Amino acid sequence: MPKPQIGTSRKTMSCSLAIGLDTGAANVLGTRYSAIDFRESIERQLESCPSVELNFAGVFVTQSFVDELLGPLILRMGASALERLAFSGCSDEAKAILRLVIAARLRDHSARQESRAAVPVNCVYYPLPESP
Amino acid sequence: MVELPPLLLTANIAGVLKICVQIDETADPVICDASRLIVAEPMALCALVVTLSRMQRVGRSVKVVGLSRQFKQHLESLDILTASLHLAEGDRNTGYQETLHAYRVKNEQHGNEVGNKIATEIAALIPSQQLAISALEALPKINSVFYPLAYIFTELIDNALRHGRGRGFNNASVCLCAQYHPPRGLIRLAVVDDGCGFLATFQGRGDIQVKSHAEAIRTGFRPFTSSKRDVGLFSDAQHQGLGLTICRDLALRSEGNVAVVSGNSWITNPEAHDEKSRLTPFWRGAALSVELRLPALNTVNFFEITSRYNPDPDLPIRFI
Repeated sequence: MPKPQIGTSRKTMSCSLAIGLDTGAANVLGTRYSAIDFRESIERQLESCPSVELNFAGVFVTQSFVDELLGPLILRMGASALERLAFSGCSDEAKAILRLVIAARLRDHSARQESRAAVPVNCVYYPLPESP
Repeated sequence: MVELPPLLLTANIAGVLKICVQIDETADPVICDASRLIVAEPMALCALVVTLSRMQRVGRSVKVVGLSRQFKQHLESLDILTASLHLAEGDRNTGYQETLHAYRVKNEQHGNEVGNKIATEIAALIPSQQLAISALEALPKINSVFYPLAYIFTELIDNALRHGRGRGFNNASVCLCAQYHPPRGLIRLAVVDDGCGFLATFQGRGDIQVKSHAEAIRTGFRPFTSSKRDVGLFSDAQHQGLGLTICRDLALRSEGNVAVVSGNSWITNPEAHDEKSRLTPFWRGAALSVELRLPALNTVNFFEITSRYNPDPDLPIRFI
């Protein structure tokens, strides 16, 4: 299981996380399972750092991996996630996939916000009648 | 005894599945006669192996007899057969052609590693890719067949584990196999499971009405449609619903194709303009075959493929 490599910059008060394996071999991070530890590291770092740099140098990724990595985060935080995340070392392929996943999940976030807004805040609860 | 024909081909997967049904229904011990077998393409081999594994899982005695020495040695070198499967050599010294690369996927932790391993093996067979693989770490922008191969394998493995092993099918087998044909520049790969299949994964979804295996397969390849996608008020959406869609697009861009079998349906290039659909003998689970062609695979452009589904290509993202 790939282990996240974490770093912190005191000068800029930002944290960084290397998304990749330390095996030295060419690798594609493709399965959702392989994204879970990285996502949990990102979430922990966002608790204490205003900004987190995600370094994709030397690694290839799939849409499913990136969706598991960032999807839940963007669904919760919406566009504010983009203000706190930066992406470095990305190949053209990784950039294309990141753009796709982030844009689509932002759209899902907006859809969710609209659904929640449609439910009245002060709706009254009427209990169901008891069975005879 | 179930007799295997000389050719186990993807194009005749219906015939292969009929053999799998025969194996399922035959009385103990299960004996497969492979004395005429010459060629087994990836999807067909995986379907056979998964069926034999399932027989063993339920405690049945399974033997494959009449193998050529070459094929027996080749099968024993692959990590797809359980140790207890009995393989017996026949009188043939020659007969089996082609080299296969195949693995069983044990669990989710194993999935990513296996996908990369088989992609590396296939890419290493292609002379122009050998330098690219060794330099990949230093220069990730090198275009190589390794990336699309590993991309497709890991995505399909992920699907088989996440969906195929759902709905109570926790012990389903997941088998993958790949072959490279130099004269035609053809790479053939397959991921097969005997899990719950496409139709069962969509059951219980009120927003997705799927009533047939064929419709379930098509739905699985539709963008932003997943059995694990639920943008509800209080639940986290889990899957974006693009994994199979992009794998299909990768195959089509490389002048290849995708064939999918699940339940009683066999569809090639689902939801594409040249989709074809047929009925097959029943397959519990999902079997996917992908064909990729060189040199077209070398020119596949991920930006072009993903931009079709990107709702906001101009989104400001901080790339540094």
